[in-house]
Amino acid sequence: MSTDAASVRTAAPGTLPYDDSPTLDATNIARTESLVKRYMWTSTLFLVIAGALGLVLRQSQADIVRVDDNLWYALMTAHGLGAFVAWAGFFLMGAMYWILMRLGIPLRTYILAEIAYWTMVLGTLGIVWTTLISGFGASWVALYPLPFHSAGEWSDTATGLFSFAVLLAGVSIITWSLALLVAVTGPAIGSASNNIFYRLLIALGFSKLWPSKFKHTNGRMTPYPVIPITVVAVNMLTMTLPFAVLLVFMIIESIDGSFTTDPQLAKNLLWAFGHPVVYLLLFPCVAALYYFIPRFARRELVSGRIVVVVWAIALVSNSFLWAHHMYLDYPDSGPQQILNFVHEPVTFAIVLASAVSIYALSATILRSDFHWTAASKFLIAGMAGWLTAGFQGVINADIQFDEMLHNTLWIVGHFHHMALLGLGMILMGVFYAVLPMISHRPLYSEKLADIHLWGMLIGGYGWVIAWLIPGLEGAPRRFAILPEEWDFWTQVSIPFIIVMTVAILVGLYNYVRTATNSPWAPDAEPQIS
Amino acid sequence: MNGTQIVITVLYSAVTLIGIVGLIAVLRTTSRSSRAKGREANIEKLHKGENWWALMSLAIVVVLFVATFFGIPWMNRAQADSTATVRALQFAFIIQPAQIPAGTVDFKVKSDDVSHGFGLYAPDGKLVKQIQIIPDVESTMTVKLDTPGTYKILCLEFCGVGHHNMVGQFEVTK
Ligand code: HEM
Ligand SMILES: [Cu+2]
Repeated sequence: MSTDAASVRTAAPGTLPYDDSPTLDATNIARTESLVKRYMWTSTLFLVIAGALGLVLRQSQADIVRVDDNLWYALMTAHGLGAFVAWAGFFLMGAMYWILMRLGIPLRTYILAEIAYWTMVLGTLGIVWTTLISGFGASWVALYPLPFHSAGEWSDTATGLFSFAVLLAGVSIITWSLALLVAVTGPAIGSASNNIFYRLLIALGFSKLWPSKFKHTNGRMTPYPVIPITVVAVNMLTMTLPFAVLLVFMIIESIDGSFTTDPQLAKNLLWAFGHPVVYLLLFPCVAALYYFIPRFARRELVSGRIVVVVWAIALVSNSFLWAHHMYLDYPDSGPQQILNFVHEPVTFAIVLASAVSIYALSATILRSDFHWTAASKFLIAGMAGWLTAGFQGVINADIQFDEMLHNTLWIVGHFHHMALLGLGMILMGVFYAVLPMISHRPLYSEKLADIHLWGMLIGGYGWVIAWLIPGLEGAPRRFAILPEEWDFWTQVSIPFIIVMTVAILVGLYNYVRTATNSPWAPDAEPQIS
Repeated sequence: MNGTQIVITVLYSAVTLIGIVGLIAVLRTTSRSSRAKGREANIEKLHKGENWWALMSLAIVVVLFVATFFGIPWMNRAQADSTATVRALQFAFIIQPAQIPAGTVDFKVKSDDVSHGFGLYAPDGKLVKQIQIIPDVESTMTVKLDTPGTYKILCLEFCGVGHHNMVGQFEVTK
């Protein structure tokens, strides 16, 4: 382990039991840390807002305080984008800068990261404005032409502004992808050739797969976390573009009503982005697990070459699987039936990356001297959520099963299960691991972290099961007021949501106290044994 | 629940149980007592296992793909005994005829404005089948309706402020 001033500084409180972070330049560390802090805290603020909106939605369905119909849909629109993109996506975008830095591959330009930060903040504020104030309530997918058929609830101008706000979030994702690609194809990766494709393949781990052809000059193989980071950067860079085109079309139509788009084309453009954006959460979480799990297990990731193959498959298939969101669009004429059919096996192909990753991570943990901390408990709980929600994903990918599940509450249960109990918990584990290191203070309380963990597990699973079961029986999704036969499950979910909310608030308190760590903290000593 | 829903429930419960048990088993090997009596992890063997694991996962998804092939609705249509047309608009369904004889029915669906969903619910309230209703383009959903009674339609694609009020119905007669 190196002993220069900078790494001693980062290695102080909350350090990982096994750490091989290369020597880094102190200014680079300081700069990345302040950037990452900003991403993490701002996105956490968005979680508070979006989470509160989620509470309002579900309690309204439970008829506690019922909100007006269009307001419900507008809140739903803000909630979905806010929780998914402005909280989880945004947080993980920042976390990837940190992981790359720790791997000795820091950002080479901070300008892109700054643009990504500010466009996301402005885009989120724009979304909040156009939904909550202008009443835009066409759901996060804004399925064309619904934004222009508001039944008098919002104006075309609101649609234009909403599209622009979402476009800003898209610009954020694109610039973030660029920032990552510039870093992972830079000199730190030690590529033997200067050719850009060669460097990209090196970042994708091809030197493990084909060592005679792909060589490193620095004697260090591509670290495993870099592989999913590179994949998600390439995917988001390319797959955000079709949606950006659609948003531009909608902005034009909001100004000149005679300009229209074909609804089927629009839906394809939307989902060409709408599915890959799920991996804006998943792949960074896998990168985080690749980074942290070996460090808690005190050994290297147990993985070989096949992982490189499955990630290469993921990179390609992620660009051609969107039609699995359109399985039930099969008009009598046109190519959609064929597209849906082709995208089914491609969807199955992307499962392999998750399957092999779960294996590699489990093999790394197996019989290891695993170090249990707040962070590692959350990472493991998140892995369990990823696994159990992932099985639902495989079911949804079957056309025959999707016919029973599409647009039911099962889907809502599935993605909350994945987004909060899987990826969200991994994210929270990352926060527990990173926060002490970037704020140079020990974790405020392991005990509060346990309350946070168990409250989320008990509350969270009750919460999603109360969606999955009625959904499986056909309860419809996106209903401000549900048909009364499903009221039972809505009522059941409320106490679980309260438990989960309290747990999350306890967690947030723990994070804030860690960052500010007052001297009167009861157990301010480092918890590492 | 219908057959598909039961298959989903059983399949999902089974794999989830296996997954959770597997994960717990892995975690238990890290306990001090288990490590004290157990062997060291054989990293080389685990590496080999990774390739087998990948192959097994591939085999599973191939089987799933082949299995669902025969359930793809537009590739496995039965010959229809009768036809009904469905027009959808914000926020209503117009279904003709209102009475349909029991048997296999072709529903020809089309929307006047935005996308809607044709969610067909049996007299006992359970979902039977669904299809997307696309603006200005006709789609056909073929379904066998044996049980006479009142069938309900719920909109299964979000279509605006009245989405949850968009219901339709028709009778299936003997
Ligand atoms: C306090 C916790 C939360 C509650 C109570 C909650 C509640 C809800 C409700 C009631 C809906 C509408 C469901 C429907 O379609 O009928 C919804 C939609 C949604 N939620 Fe959450 N949610 C929570 C947290 C989250 C988190 C953490 C995420 C993602 C990271 C998330 C992402 C979404 C998305 C993407 C939608 C879909 C929005 C749309 O269809 O336009 N939610 N949520
Ligand atoms: Cu509708």
